[in-house]
Amino acid sequence: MARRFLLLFCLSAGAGCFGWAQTAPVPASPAAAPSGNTTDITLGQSAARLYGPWKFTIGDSPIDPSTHRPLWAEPGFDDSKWEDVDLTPKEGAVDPIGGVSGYVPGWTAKHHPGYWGYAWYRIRVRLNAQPNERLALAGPSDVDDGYQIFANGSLLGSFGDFSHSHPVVYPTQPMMFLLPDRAKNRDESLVLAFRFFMEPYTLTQSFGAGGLHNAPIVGDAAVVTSDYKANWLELIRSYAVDPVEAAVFLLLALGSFSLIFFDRSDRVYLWIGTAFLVASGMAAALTFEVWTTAVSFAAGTIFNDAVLTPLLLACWVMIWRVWFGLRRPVWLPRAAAGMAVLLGISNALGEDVWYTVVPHPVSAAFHLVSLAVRLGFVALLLWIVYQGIRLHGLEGWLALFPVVLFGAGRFTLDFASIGINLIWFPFGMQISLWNLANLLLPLVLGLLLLRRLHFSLQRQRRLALDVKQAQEVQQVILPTARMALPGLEIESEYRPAMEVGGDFFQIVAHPTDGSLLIVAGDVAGKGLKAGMLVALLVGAIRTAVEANTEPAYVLGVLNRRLLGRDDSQATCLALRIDANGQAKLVNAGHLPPYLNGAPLAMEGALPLGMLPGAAFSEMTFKLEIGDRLVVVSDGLAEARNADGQLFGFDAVEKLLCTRPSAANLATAAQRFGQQDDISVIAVTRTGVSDPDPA
Amino acid sequence: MQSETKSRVDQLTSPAGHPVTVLRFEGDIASTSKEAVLGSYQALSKETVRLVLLDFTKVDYINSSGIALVIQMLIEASNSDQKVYAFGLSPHFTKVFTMVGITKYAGLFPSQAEALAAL
Repeated sequence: MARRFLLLFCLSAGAGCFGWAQTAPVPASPAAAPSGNTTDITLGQSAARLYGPWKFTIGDSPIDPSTHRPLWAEPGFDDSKWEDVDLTPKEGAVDPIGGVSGYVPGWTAKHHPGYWGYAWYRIRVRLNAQPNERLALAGPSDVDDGYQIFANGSLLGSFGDFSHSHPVVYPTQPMMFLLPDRAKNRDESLVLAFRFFMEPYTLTQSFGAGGLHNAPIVGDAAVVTSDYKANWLELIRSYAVDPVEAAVFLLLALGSFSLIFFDRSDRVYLWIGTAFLVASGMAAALTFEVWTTAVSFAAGTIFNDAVLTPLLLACWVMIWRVWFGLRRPVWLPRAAAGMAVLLGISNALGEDVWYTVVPHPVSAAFHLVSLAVRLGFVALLLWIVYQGIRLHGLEGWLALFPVVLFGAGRFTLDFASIGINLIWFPFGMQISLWNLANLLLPLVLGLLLLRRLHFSLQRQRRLALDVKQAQEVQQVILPTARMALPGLEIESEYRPAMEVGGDFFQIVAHPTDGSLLIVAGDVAGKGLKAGMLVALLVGAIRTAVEANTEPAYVLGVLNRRLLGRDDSQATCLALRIDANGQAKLVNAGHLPPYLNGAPLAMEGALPLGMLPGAAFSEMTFKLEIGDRLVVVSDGLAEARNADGQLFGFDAVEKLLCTRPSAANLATAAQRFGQQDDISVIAVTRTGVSDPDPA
Repeated sequence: MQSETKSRVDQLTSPAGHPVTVLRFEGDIASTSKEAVLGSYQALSKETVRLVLLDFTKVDYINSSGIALVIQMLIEASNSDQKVYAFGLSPHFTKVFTMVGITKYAGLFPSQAEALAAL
């Protein structure tokens, strides 16, 4: 024969039998057993919500000197003069902050506005259960803030730490307590008493705060356990957005910080990364706060409101300031930092967290300061966005809406405390204006980053085209790789380290006397800037040689061209080879040429562009038939391998002894590790040139 | 990969008893080294600093832009009648410094002791 469970909840006020078992029976563990031709079905394990009537009073109980227990928890205490409280919720009522269902406003909405501290609830019930049935009570899943529960004067348990003179409380969580066996005695009523404590700062955080916000459940332990688990699932679902938000913001922060490696010049990525990291910390802290008792309500409030919130607001001020390129006013960053510090202090002192040491009027004053500073931050953000609209148009408009939401989101709890709800529960998940702003801001930032990337790519394409065209121009103005002139064979090789090089050379054959002028040099630096200077020098060489091919004259002209231009210097040599092989070399700091593998011994001289009227070193020599003269730039000897070793002058000399082609010489250095532009001009005297065959 | 240029100022006394300011460079010297090379030199007082040593012992590489910076510094020192010696250059860069005429403005020495002795 299967067991039959029947649980009756009879309220001491004589309301008669009622309960969940009647209105919403929970068919937990139905058992079916065959008995002959009949199947016995067992029903009846059930639980009921204790909607009332509750007795309520503010204040705390005196201690009974005989039992050393709170007098107000004793079953015999006369609570007839206490207030009556009914916890029956309105249809579909939910907690406006936490989203817990079955919500009823607390004591501040019922005759005790502004009251914080201790308060007591009592209810008298008679339970009728089977002898072997275990009974339990699921504590109210929505309370302000902590409580101890007594059954007939004996402490059953608590939510919060009541071992200190001022209890440590946590954001509300479901609790479950097993009832003593004697509670099943149908002849004896059971008095359940809740001793509540609410911190003063709860008053500032929700409307209708105080005590019980939904009815506890009492009944069969298995059914109560199911309800307890359901309450936990409801709590987890309510705050499910926060851990997701924490993870997403952490990833966004890492992504933003990684952008710094691509563009160190732009500090906006640092600010964006910091803001996302702070937002991630806020969401993670809130998750820990509501899902665990690792962080007390007070500690969580201080961490979020006094540390992270001011930091986040200051970060967003800096993000938009940097994004819109506002250099003025220059005091803006200092103002944001000062406001953040002020907000941190006013939030820490203005939320009654330190109510034991900071008097309430002082705290209230700081709360007003906090309100003013937050309004100041919103005004500052809107002013920056206004400047953004003025300077950048569309980008400013895009930022406006999320910034307005973000600003308003910082007042969500202030609005809640005056009954304006900015928190919604789609699918049971808590979504606040703050959450929406937090989601919208990265979306808009992402959009703005994409827009910036698009323009940056366009600009890069234009720059690449410019560089390609400069490269083409440079190829045009440099001589061809191989040329033969009467009595001379000339090879040249040009390997710029970047797209455009800073090395240059010109080979100019005299139209009548059979002489040849070679001008070779190396502009300090490389890349487009050096390439443009090369174009200037090549033009100057071409102009100068029309008037005079004397090497010293040409270098003098080039020196004057470079003087007075910042960072414009060049080593350069000019070599004139006459038809009879007589050569004159003038050098301005360039590597002396190698004659048949050996460097020509020359005095050093300053490069061009250093001093007006600088003296250049000069020498003359004879280029015999079969002699080979090689002019190289320093990029050859200063090729560096991965270990930082230089190719060196000795290696160049050794190579030159093998009479390599200009291309092979350049390739050898390039393979070693090119760092700078490489240019090689090799001149071989093949015979006697006839300056005037006619 | 170019390494950042660092510079440091030391005060020494020459064997002859004169105060000597030593500019010690470290890393590569290139176009980006303007502040480390010219800036650190220009921060010295032209009135009180008469003898300057340039320490290149920890310099790995000097490109053409870096050499131009050194020359600018030496021309400035010459115009201020300061005596400048350099030491610690590798044979390669000793040759390069000679080619670009730096020896007309600064004596080159293998070590600090030899440079100090020559002052």
